[in-house]
Amino acid sequence: MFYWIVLILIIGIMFFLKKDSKFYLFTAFYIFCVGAILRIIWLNEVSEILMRMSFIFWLVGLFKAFKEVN
Amino acid sequence: MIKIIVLILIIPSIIIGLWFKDGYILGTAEDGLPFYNLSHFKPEADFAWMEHPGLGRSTLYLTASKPTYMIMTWLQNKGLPGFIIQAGVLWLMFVISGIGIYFLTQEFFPKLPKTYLILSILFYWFNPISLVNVWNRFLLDYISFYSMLPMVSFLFINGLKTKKYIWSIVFTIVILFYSYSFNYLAFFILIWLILFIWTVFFFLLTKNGSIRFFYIKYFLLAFAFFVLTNAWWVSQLVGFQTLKDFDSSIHDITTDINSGIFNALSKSMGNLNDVYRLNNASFFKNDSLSWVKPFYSVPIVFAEFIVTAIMFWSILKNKKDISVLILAGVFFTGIFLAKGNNPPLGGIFEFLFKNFLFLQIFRNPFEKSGFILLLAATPLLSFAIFKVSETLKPLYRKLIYTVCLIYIVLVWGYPFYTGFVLTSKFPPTNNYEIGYKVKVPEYYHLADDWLVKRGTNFRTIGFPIEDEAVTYKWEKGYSGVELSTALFSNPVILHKTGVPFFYDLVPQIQKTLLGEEEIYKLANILNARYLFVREDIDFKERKMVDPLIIKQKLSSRERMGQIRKVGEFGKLTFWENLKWKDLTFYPANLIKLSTSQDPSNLSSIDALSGEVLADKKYEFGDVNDSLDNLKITYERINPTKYIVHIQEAASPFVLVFSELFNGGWKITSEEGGKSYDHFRVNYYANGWLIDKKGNYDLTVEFSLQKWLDIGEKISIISFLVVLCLLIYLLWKNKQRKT
Repeated sequence: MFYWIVLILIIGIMFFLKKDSKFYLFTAFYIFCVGAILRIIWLNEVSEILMRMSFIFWLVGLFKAFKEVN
Repeated sequence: MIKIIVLILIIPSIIIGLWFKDGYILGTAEDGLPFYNLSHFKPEADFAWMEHPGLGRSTLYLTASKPTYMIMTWLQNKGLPGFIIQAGVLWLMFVISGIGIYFLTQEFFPKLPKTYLILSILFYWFNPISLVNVWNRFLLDYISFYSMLPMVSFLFINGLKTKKYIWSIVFTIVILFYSYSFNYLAFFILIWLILFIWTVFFFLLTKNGSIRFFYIKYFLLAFAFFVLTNAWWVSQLVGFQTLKDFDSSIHDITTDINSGIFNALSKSMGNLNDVYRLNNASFFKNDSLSWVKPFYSVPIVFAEFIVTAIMFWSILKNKKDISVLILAGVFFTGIFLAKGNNPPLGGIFEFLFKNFLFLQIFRNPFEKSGFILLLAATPLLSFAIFKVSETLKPLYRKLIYTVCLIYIVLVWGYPFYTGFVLTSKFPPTNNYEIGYKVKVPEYYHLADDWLVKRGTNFRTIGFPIEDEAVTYKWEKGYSGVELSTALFSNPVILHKTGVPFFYDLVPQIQKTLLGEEEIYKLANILNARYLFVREDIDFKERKMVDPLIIKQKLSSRERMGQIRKVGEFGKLTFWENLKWKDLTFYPANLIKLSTSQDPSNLSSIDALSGEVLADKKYEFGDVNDSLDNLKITYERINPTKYIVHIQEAASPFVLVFSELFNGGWKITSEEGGKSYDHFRVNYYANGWLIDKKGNYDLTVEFSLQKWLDIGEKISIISFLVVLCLLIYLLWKNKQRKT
């Protein structure tokens, strides 16, 4: 449920703040990097939550990027 | 270019040379040991019915391997040892996967320097997915699928890009050489899912209606060509659906069981922490072998994240590049599938999994989706490394390239050169000197020859019997599925496997032997002439009954005059069922009715006296008359066809056919093709109520063989048409140019 709320929030950002794909992809990338560092220092559970959030940002970012190319 | 050709030929040659230098065949897991005796497996591919394991089963899509077995058996008949053929096949798979990924990467990134194309080849060979899901798994259909994937993707995508139908024809011809992959039906679904995903992303990236329409037509045309040229096995799947009793002919693995597996595996292997690094979490963990441990050490985990980060960086930096977008789209689709029903958005996949039957192939999501991840990640990664190094000074550029090369070749290539990739945590494969190497003792060959000399009209039962998995304590031992098909020419009941009726019946055999009831009745029902004990298995490892206990029991039954010891071959001891008579077909007139047939009833059915167990719901009228003068003989044409000669039938009787019950078995009389009611008898066998009197012949056939025969003709004609079409189009192109 938590991740659905995150997705809805991101879609909300997409509609109201009109950010381009760069914003979502960079956010996804940075969250991924933080998640990776936490995984390396064995904070697996926190890291997994970040990885999942990063995944949502990747999906939205790629969706936007597809639209922009079109 | 020469450098690349040399690389593609040399590295697989070194690796395969190291694996096979001692002259042993390799085998483990579900594949068993096909290369021990390929001719034993050929009938599985040639006919719609196979007599192994034990009581027989329909082959269906296993016949997809027919062309492969034809070639391999031919090579074996020419005198090539099994290990050389296996080495050749694996070498070819390695080489073609390298060529395929080279072309695929170049297709997406035509300007990528050759040195980076080399990286893509090496990465496709040496990475966590190929290491675990392909080579450590060591199933030939998986290896074949892994090998074909980049090549067929390249051909298919080339058609999408150039918008020329000719590529769908080339694709059709090339994919035929990989028909062995479809031995496992999941790969038929997976390849079309992957091609569908490619098509969808190309479709989404254009707004031109006519191009979109072309993509739809191209996909459908390729699919139609595929179905037609593969009709010899696809036709059986269609035919199977038309069988009256088709439900009873498949083992009951319900959606619920699959969902349970899907849930459990998603939880253990679907964490994004692992999936992003292309890691199979069930493999890289604490209870693994010592060589695996460094792969989840901090430096390697760090390096894996760096690799993924480079790839992600290139996606966000080149998000306007269509090739990058398509590959990223496919990669994240792969991630979505690989994590199963894990959050985020796992509920969507779970809904699809439960409601679309074909998605049940993803019950082990990472194992199947791993192929998609690897396919997209490889070109993306080599492009990403190139892009990153472009931003650096030449000296650092060389440095980063060298570091990547060392990381791929030395770290991920290490288990390949050392042969560790061919070891597992199960004994004896956990012994690095053994691994998947297998040396079958000579006494199996002697025992098989001895059995073949005694005829082909009986079965043999081997003890102890347990589940599908077995461990043999040979010089180069074996761990994997039971090897009855590889080791013996005649059908042998040696294990319990997921075949309807067979699965529940097999435990009853050992129970009867160890109990007090006479064994001959059950043995006769199964048409078993010989019983044997093998003492070369690791019965403790597999929680089986001690072979010595079974040997003692058989010896005590020998003293009671039920059986007789007839042969000893190394660690195999054979006894003969003294009351055996060929009961492949027998007439029955003493019908024991049961509301629900149970394997435990079989020990009280005396087939020699004309007894049979049948369901209460059937009406048998005046079957009870004497069958004294009735004689039945038969000719076996092939595993799917028998001619049964009936002489002096004076009253109705039940004809029992002691092959596994399947809705595909039909009986027709010689003249006019009259058919008879088919029902299940003796728990597992086929029965027909024959009410015709006098002397006549009946034909017993497995109906799916006709589908296979017709499908084969369609395949050959379609292949020739497709080939002519290709030649015509090439000629036309040449004409246009001149």
